[in-house]
Amino acid sequence: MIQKSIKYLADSQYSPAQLFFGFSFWLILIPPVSAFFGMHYHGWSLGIGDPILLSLTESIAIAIFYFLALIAGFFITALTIKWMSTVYAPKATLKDAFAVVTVVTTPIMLGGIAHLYPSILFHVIVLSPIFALSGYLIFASIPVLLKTDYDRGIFMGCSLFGFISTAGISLLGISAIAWVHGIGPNLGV
Amino acid sequence: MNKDIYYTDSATVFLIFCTMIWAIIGMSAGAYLASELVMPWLNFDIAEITFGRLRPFHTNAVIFGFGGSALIATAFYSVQRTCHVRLFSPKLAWVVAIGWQIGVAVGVASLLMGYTSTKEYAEFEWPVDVAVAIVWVSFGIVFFGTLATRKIRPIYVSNWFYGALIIVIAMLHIVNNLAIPYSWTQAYPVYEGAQDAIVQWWYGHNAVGFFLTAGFLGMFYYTLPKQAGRPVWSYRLSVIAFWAFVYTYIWVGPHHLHYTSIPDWLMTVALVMSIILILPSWATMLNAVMTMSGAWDKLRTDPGMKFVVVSMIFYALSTFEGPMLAIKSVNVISHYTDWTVGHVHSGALGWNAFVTFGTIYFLVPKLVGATGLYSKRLANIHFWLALMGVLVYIVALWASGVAQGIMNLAIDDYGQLSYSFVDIMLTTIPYHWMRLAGGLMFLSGALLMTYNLYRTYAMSKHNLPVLVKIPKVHPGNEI
Amino acid sequence: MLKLHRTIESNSALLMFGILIVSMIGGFVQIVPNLFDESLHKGTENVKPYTALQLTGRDIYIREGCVGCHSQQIRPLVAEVMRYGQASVAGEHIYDRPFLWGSKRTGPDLGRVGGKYSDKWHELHLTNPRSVVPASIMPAYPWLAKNKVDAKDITAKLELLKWYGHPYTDAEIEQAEQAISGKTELEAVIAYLQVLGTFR
Repeated sequence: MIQKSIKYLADSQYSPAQLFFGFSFWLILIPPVSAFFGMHYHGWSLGIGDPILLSLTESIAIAIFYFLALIAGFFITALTIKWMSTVYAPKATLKDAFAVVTVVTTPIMLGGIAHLYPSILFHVIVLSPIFALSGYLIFASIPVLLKTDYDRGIFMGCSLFGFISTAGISLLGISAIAWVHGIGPNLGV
Repeated sequence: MNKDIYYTDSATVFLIFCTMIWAIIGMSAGAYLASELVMPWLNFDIAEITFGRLRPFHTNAVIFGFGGSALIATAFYSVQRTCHVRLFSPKLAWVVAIGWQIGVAVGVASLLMGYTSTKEYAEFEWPVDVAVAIVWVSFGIVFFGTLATRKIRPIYVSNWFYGALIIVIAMLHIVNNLAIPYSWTQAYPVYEGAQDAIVQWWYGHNAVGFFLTAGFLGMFYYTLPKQAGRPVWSYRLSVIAFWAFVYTYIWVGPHHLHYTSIPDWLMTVALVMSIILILPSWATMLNAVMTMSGAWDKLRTDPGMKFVVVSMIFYALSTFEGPMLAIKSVNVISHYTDWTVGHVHSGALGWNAFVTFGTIYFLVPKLVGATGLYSKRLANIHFWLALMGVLVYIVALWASGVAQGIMNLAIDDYGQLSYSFVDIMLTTIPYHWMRLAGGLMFLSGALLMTYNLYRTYAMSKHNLPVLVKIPKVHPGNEI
Repeated sequence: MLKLHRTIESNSALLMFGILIVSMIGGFVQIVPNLFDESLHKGTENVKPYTALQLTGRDIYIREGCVGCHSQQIRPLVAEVMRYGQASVAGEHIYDRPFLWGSKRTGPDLGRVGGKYSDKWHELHLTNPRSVVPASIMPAYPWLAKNKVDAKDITAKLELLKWYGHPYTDAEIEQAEQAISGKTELEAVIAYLQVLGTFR
């Protein structure tokens, strides 16, 4: 089924704008909106003990920042794919790069529903298989969507996987800096 | 028979055997430690296996036993091939190979018995330190002796990295372990308090930098072009990255001491240098990626190549995460937590162990004279077990570390601490189970590999060592 | 530049010295000036060298690898000071050879644990941690109560430390062996734990 959908997308004539506004944009809304409700009404459970509740303004601010970060991440990743394809997939266009990001991010954005119940342990359990699926989608979609051969696609998949994990870690780092500077949980630093 | 026309590989074969033994010993100890964290009864009230004594056993067995043996083995192998000459004094090479095993074995056994200097990754007491230093200098003599007698003019890039490994580790080891004995087994260091901390983390971080990075980059710069059948992509980039790496790495130690009682300027310098360090690390990574490009079919046909490619991803990841954790605001959260432990393992397992596995899968069939591995399928299973294992491991410790870090500092509306220490400890338990599962996957992969290599050896009809003739040097490159 | 490098990389001795010199700079700048930095080597008002029994306890603390899970370094952060006590300063560690600041808190920081709990609590806790903290994952150390401390090296230890500049009197060194002989390892460790953090 996954192969079929990727093939369908490869044969389709959607422009990047159509793909983005018709599909991805709405998906990207899921995590920040869920995060807002989760943060404000349930609070982050770190583990044992009471969850950390965030105020209305803070929750809105974080949700907006989160949304902007996701949008930026989406476009940066697409441009990175286009850049990487000069080595790995010379025939790929920017439109193809957008198609790859769309495919890879879809499960992650849907998984953003998990933010409705913001517990770290719950997130690890729910998001791990989702990230594994996205990892698989990187390798499955690149050869088809970027019109390159299988072997080259695997190499590109590795590079892209490295890029996305680095971006993920930097999101964690940025969050930590934000926490320490008074955004989010109340820390005594 | 004129021996001088053949390479000498017997010490390498022995060291690769030891590498696998140490992998199993060291990783099993790690898995046992992970189990003790979730099932404290596993300490069994036996002093030798309590967490405090077993932890340095684990770190030293994997770093110096597994990593050290692999580095010496591959250095001996590659320095001959890149110099077109036999090892300088094969006898001394054997002394190094056996001396290193005895040194590390006695060292880790003495740690279990409670003889420790407590300085991380330098826990061995002074008699072992002296023995290890002598073996290390002999390693240097063999290595640089081979370089000096080489038949080919340029010194290949992998040898710069091995050279940096040997010289800088010797310097670090001697300066950090300076101590005056008060008995035949134990000593007090010449540095005290904050000064001792500064010297220790200058050593500690550069043990990572030069043992676990420079050395393995040497291994990598030899193996990768060989496996890919392509030259290093940019010579110029490798020159710049090398010197930038050697200069910058030495500065970053004090980022392990953020917000402690050491002078502020040290922390600031370490922070700045840590961030700069991304450049040479990523330049090396880029060079590697571009070197691989073009050898497209190798991922399917060569099981070792997969490990090497993935090791590059983790190298990139760890060399990014490290500088990030050196930023003071991130370090406030991450210091003293599992986040650091996860970071170390993403480097040690994902980068060091993966590149070692890839290299050994590549070398062993050649060394034993087999046409290929006994089973590519087993090697593939090993690959997936190891990859899943390390991912589960680091994801678990990210979650655990972030939770620990925030809970340690969280304050409620009344200005009181939100969480007790017991709350923090209980929170980590599910993640510690996860990391145990990840570690066990990684360990079982290493067991599969050992079996696979043994069968490869058993398959071969050659007597060891297999003799390989030294090829003629290209006329333009003669010394 | 590249030409210079062609020279370096065709001469193994040049390459060796190049690496040595380039790698020495950072360490030199970070270690040497600090050897002369007063603020690192001058003691706080209350800092005292460890007594023979405390020093013996400290060496047992080292032997058992306690530093693997317990730091002794309180960072100057609001929450950390609330949790563990006043932030650590360099001057209270001048008699620490080796330093025991640690790098991981699987257990709590012990930088100011001295005086927080009674000797009896420590006795119970070290013998079986779960008897006082049910959720604890710390190993039990029942042998500490059974073993008598090893007194034979204590004179040599104190003489070495005196040579390093720790202000022990000749009388203290003479009586050291007598002072600790017959004590259990448990008593020594508790004596050490109870003095931790009282030097500020």
